[in-house]
Amino acid sequence: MSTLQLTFGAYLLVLLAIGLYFYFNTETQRLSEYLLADRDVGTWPIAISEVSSVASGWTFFAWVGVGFTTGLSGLWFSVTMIFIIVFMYRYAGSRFRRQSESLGSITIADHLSLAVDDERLSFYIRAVATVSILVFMGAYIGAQIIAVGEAMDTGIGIDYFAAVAVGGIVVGLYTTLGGFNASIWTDVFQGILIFVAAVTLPVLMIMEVGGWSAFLTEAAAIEDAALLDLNAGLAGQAMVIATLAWVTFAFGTIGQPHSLMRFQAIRSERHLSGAAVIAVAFQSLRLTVPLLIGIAGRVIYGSVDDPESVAMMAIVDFFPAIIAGILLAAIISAILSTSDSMLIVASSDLTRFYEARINPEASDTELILLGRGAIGVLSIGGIALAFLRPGTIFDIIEFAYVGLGATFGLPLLFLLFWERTTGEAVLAGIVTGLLASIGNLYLVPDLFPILVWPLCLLVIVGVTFATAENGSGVADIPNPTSRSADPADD
Amino acid sequence: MGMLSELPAGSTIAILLMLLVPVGTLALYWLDRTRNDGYVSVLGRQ
Repeated sequence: MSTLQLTFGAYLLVLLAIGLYFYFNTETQRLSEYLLADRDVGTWPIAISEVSSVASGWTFFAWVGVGFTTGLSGLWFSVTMIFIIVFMYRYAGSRFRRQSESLGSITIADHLSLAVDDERLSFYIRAVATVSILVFMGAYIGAQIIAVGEAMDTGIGIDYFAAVAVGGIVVGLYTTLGGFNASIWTDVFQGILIFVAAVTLPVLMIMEVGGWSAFLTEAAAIEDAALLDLNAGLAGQAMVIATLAWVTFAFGTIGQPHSLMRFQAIRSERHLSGAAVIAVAFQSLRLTVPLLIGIAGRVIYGSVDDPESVAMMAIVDFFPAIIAGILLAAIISAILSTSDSMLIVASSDLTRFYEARINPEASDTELILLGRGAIGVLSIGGIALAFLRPGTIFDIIEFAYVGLGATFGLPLLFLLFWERTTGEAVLAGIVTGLLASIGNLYLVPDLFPILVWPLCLLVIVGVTFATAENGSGVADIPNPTSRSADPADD
Repeated sequence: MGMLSELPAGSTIAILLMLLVPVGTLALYWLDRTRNDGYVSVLGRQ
């Protein structure tokens, strides 16, 4: 067994140990305690885990692949996303946290369902939202497991199929055992490792090319791609469509259930401003640097079979074996952390559906057991999808990201910021988000995801006006809590 | 700026925004701490 493989194996054992620690040392008796750590998570764990969760197969695979193939045009996405993150933390987060606490909601699907006054509508919302979670989060989890498989295959030399099975089992086990507590603390640990990997790798690669100026000269000299151009060398209609595709892809940021869950879990609204600074700084780094890694990879390696594996190749080539092992572990662990957050969200929605509609008398112990069972089943589903491998990591993530944003994010923002929104409009928004994302991808793939948003927007606004007279009401945003009653800072 | 000046203008502006938004968020946090007891606010005003 090589040093790389030994280092990596040791890291997986640490992850399992964290899961076991929380399993034996915390009494996770209530569901909200298992899923939201009892709404008592401070600024730093929230912000870093947010970053570590979003940074994932996306950052070191999909985004590096984008840098390799289209270069800096991905910055259209990055800039749009960074402004949306500021908006979510500074303006949507407080309202969402407050409304979530008053409704007692645990996940976004739960929230949208509980926010509607009419019981029948609430049931339909929960049912469609649970299906959407399974479709989009299932795809997202599958993409992460593919990335884990590729990282182990390309980087560590473990067979792809064996790697997918090992990675899937480890993440399923430690999430099952430790719940949100284990997940959020492994995220913090991994956030730090990702930072180290993200900063050192591009520096080494650019030094290998001969420094910054030499790197830019060589990148500009590549004939069949304008890697340094924000518009990727496109003009006219093609440029407009490409730009709109990047920007509308970034809109998905408003509705990622695993990110929204962190607003629900934060200890107090007072922590949001500080958490925003940390989250925005990390996001800025991870939305820019992988593009440079991809471009440097194109300069160094020329053409490769799989552009999404360039970062793994570079880590093995540019670092000594033991450091490469730790960095690969950092990246793989980030992917695993994304998977664990997603597994927790998806399993909580199934659990809440069971509690709300099938067995309202279910005890918390029974629900936690069900949640753990659901994580096990979803892990197996994700592994199965990774074996089938229906597209590149980027393709799958783009579909899931936009689908989640349109299905959950848009109805949520209307709920938080437009008091005329009706329950019917929320349901219509969720149904349209699910159908429009799938329809746009399969019927008009060249314009994906541009068409999804105007369609969803029109439906929500249209149904709100159409049902203004007789529509069912939605929950108000409670006033801010008394500040003297707020928990103290960390 | 020296390093960025070698890039095309559009890319330079985009990268500058990626650097300036975190700085702006930090400034807003400072305003929140000093003028609004740490709660998020619009430019320091609730």
